[in-house]
Amino acid sequence: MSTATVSKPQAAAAPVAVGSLQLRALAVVLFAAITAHAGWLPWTLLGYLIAIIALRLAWQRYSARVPAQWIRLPLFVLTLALVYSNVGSPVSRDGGVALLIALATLKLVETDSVRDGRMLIAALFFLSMTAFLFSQSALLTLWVAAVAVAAFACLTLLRKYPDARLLAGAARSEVLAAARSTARTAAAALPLVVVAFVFFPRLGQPLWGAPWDPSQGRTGIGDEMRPGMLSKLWQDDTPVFRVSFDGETPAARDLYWRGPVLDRFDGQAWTRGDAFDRFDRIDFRYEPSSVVSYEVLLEATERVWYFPLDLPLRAAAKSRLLMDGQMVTFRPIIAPRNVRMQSATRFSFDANARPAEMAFALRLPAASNPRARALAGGWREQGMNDAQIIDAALTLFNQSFSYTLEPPPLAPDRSVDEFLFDTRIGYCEHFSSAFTFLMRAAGVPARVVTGYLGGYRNASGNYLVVRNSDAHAWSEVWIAGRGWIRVDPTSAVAPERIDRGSIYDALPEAALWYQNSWLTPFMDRFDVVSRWWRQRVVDFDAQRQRNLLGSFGVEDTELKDLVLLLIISGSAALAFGIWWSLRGLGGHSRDPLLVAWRHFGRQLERRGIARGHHEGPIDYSRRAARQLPSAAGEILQLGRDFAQLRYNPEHAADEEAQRALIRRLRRFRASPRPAARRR
Amino acid sequence: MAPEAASWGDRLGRLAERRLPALTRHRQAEPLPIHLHARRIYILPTRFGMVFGVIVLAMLMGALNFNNNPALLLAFLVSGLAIVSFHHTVGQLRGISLVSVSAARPHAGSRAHAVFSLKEGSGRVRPALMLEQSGQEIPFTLAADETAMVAVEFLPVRRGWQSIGRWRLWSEYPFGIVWAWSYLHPQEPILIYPKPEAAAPDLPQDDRDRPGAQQRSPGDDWAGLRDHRAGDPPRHVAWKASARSDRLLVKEFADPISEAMVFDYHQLARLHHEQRISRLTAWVLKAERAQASFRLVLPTQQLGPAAGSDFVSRCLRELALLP
Repeated sequence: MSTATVSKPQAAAAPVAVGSLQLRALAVVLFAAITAHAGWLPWTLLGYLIAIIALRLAWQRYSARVPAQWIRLPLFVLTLALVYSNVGSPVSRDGGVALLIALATLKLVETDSVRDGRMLIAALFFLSMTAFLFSQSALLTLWVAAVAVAAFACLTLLRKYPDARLLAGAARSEVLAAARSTARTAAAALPLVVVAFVFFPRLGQPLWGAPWDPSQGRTGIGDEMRPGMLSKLWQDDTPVFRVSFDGETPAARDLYWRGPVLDRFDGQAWTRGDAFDRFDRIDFRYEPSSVVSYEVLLEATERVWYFPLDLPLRAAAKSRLLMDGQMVTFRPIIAPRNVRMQSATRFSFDANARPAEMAFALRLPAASNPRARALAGGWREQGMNDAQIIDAALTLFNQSFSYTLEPPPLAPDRSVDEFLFDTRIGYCEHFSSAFTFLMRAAGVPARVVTGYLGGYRNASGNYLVVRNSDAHAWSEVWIAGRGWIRVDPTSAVAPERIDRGSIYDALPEAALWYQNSWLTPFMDRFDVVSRWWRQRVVDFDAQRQRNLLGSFGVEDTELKDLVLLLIISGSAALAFGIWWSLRGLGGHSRDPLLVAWRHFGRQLERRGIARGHHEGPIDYSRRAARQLPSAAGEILQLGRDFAQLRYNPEHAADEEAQRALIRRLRRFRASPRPAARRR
Repeated sequence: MAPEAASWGDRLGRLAERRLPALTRHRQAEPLPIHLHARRIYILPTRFGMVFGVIVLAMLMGALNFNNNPALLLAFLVSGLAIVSFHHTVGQLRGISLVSVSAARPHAGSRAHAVFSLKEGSGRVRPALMLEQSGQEIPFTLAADETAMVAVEFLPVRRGWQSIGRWRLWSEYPFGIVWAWSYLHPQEPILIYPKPEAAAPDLPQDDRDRPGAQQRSPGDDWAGLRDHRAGDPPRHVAWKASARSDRLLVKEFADPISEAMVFDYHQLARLHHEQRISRLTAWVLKAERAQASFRLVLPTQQLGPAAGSDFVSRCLRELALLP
């Protein structure tokens, strides 16, 4: 080889610097990835991280170099401190993901090379995925998929050796071209994604456990009730579960979804007792005609309760039924579940227990709420029986109490007294707490039951949506010979809350702005999509995969069949995707210089001088000049200038010259009508 | 670590080329045009591509383990997009042909430009291509159905026929996860002209009959019309005559032999062989700049008298090919 080595250009040795266009694209993709976490990230942290991104962009205007070490180091410490104080230890799920997000943001601060930018994008793919640890909704999935495609488009811009146009900052067209081609590639990959999703063999059992401690949980019903807790939920319209009944939907007043049963009162809060005996040891009789079968599609509540209709006949899958009628799962529900259940709405529950066994349901802390205790003691002294005492309490509520969504705060240690004698206005939890307290004080065994009431009937899908805002608390009293009887003191105050089902139907003032409006039909349809998504996509697992070919008469699809199907259909999908996307890469470039050059070619074609495929611009213009001597000078000049701007790297970046040449090419007319004649 | 690895890789590559001609045939010189088909395009992940692969694998494992289906969808989307893009990266090169390699008067000892004519024939834009040889990297874009002229710089050391060497055409477009490459090693050599002497003395004046006559003015001794050729000065174009015919014509002038200078190899006896060639080359170039006509006397033959770029090129060619 005789050609000697030319000195190595810097590009190969030093990292390739990232331009402001690429940095802006990175910032946008990072921002979009962080917004996928906006649902759970504390607002202070979210705002802080977005501010950092904005400051990094502002810095880029000021200097092409990254901020110095003495700025980055304190920023690093401050960010970590903020993550720790806002979200908590990085060992938990929330803390870990928040730390990842913060580190990615800090990475943007120190990104100045293409290599850094690419690493950031790689991290963003993972970061976007962690959003699904918090929510698996259809909308979030769409958004994260869009973020991933944008990240790939950003990779297209992060070329190590950008051509002249990208360097010259032809920003808009470059970004558009990258977005267009990446979107097309994504569309081409879509069949492959679907095939892989359906046929890729799933694990029946996880290889390792959940990576986080779900004890922190999200808002919702828990194993404790204190005044003001449930009333916080009425604005939260997150669906908790959706129910479709096999037959008729029971009447709204029967739709009590039984959750945690709280039978301990410490003077401030109601908590779960230790009634951990099994339900089937309890005397339970029901009217067979009142049995309903239904399917519950439960969201990931991160807690251990199923919410069966009051009262379930037996424990559903992966749960046990306790003697107080709560259905508790073995592990926290961290992924949406589909459960079949059966309940009876008319029943007798624990009717033949001895009164001595009910001592636990009479316990009250000695010195709490003396006035309420005196009131209830008075009823008993008047010689009332259990039923009359219940009536007395309900009548009291009915006559002088009212129901509100925004109850005034109460002193924690004498909440019942304050509610009964001072404020006299409250939410369901106040009524059930006070009622249960009065019953116990009067010697009637009683306990608090929490759960949901009613639900919203989705007209488009014929199923019931139960949301956090439907959270409810009621009471149960035990009467010898009759067993536990549900008493809902709220019904004495606000009967419409019980009869109407959804809280939004019962209390129009509870509705958020978008409920009960012209948007309702759309919201209903959207909920149908969400439900479909839950059932078909989110709940798809090893079991369903085995039943995949059920409609083709194959009961159990085995692993090797799945792999075979995956390979065959995957190859077909890939081949189609590649063929389709490569075909789409064709067509004419949108480079304005080329467009103008083609215009020039068309003009010459009119005079019968078509460009041969073998001909470069110079040869072509020479031939054209020979055949059209009248315009020879202009043609030759245009051909030379085009070749110069197009193929000489030194001139290609000269945008001014490009624009001038584009104008000249566009003005060129090969027709015999010269410009002079028009003057 | 890098130089060690590179040298090992290079050594291995050279060994393979010697021992496995069938396997390495696409690295060896071959006649033009060189058409890049799928079997001669190689593809490997980049360093970033490996990091990307590890991350996608982690995503897949995590999503499968927790049976988190939206996460699994995302992992499939990311890996599916990457897999489709591998074919786009190969498609970047597939269907390109190297039509010709030419150089405009490369002289030994000074930087010269060779122009690769690369033709796109499948109607697809090929952005972010890279033509590379030993550290020289030229990024360019190939438009759909166009032929791009890519100028590379090289430093020829000797005069005579020489190969342009093996070049690598590669691309990691679109995502930089994998890079695809192919070798362009054209057999057709390029003629390297001799190195002109740096500080050559003035043109030999003594042989001229009429000093100062080399500044010929247009209109003198008009001899006829001929077709326009590359390099003809525009002021020689016969515009009126051209307008009448459909070709571009130039005026030609008669050049009396007596007016020509003589550049004689034998008269430069004080210099040795290569130095004489070098000086003659410098004179030829000077004469061309002065648009003078001259005669070139070489040991093997006599050229001219004549003028113009064609004649100069012929003289340079003969000088380059002197033994």
